Amino acid sequence: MSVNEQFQSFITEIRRGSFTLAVLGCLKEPHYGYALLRTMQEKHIDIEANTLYPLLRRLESQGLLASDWDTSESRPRKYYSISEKGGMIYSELLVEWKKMQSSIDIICGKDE
Amino acid sequence: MDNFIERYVYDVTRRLPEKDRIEVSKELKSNIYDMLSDNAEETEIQAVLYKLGAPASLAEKYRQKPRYLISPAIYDEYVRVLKWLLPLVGGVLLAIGSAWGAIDAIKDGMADLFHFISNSLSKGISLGVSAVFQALVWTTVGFVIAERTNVKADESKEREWKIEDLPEVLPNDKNRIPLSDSIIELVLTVVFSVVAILACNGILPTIFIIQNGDTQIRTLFSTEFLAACVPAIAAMSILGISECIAKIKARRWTPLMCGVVIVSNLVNMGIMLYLINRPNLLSAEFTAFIESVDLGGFDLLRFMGTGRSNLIIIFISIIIVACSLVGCCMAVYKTLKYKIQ
Repeated sequence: MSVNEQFQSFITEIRRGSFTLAVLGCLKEPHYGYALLRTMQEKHIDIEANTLYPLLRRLESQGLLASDWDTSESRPRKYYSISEKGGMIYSELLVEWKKMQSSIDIICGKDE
Repeated sequence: MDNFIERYVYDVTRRLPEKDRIEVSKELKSNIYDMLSDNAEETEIQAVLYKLGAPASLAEKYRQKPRYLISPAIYDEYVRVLKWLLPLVGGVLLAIGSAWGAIDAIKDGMADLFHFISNSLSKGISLGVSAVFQALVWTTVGFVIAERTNVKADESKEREWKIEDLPEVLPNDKNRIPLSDSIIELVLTVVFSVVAILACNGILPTIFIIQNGDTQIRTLFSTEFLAACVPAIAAMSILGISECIAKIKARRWTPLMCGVVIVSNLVNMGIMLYLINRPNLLSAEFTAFIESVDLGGFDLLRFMGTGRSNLIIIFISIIIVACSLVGCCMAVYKTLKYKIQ
């Protein structure tokens, strides 16, 4: 495994957990899949469609997201939004995230 | 242009569980159309589909748990078992097959060397190759059972576990039954049961060679005896396979495991004793041969002829009983040894 490949796999590991938090954060406003992808990419979250779509489905099956098919337009779209359970988990995750961030800052801050 | 999208979505969803297919298909299609401009050209569609990646890997992401037939945790052991089991089984069965082929050739009166060699080689190779396939299949089956048992055990462990349920740490984990041992036992049981059944059915005739100036072939056992052997071997192999599966699942010597081994040993012993003590064990042609041979006043038939009680039968019976009892005692010993410590 080259250094670059190793680096990529570490990046993937770091991102995996943060995507859930970012998705839950974005879905306080209902979004359909592609709109959510664009919203996240606009906010410089480097997520691919093939990661986001299965992730949405997984979070929905875990009860963190609710979904609704909008059939009023010419093409039906599935809108996702955060559920009550998702909201609770989101707040707890955010606290953990901030704690982690400040710990990392304390440990690594002087290396910047 | 829809065709590509339809085919892509189909290729993803066909890899998913039935219950998810309709929903994922509908949603994925809707997402793909959202990613395209209103009158998308074929090249644009292709670009979007390539961006989504290979259908197999997208399906893998939709499936929530990775599926393995044999997971990385036991894969190395699987390859290690195959590496020496396949050549072993193949080699032994090649030798057995060649010998049978050679004997058949003599029986058919194929005196010339070329026919003799080709007959024994072809029988040997065909038996060897089919044995290798059998071994491959049964080794794989064994490891898949181990994998499924482990996955199920892990799933139930994830749900709830108690500190008290944690196993004791044993010195070098010595009451463990190595996975590879149980699987090798499984494979050998199946392969040799099949060979034995073939032998009894006369496809590979049981023979006896007498060298007396020229080579003669005689059938050693009577057809009634061989016919009785087939269901007996089948029963013993089913019992053996069940025992191996129990070992693969338990992976250690527990009282239950010990019980299974004892029952299996005793039943096998019963079946073998019944078979060996049947009247008309030997074929009429072999009996006639013994009667015709002058052994200097030594009446061989009295010892291994058609009678019920004779010394050789009793001797073989004692060996069978002794082996079975040793097997039972070993199981008890292995189970108790680490409990006492």
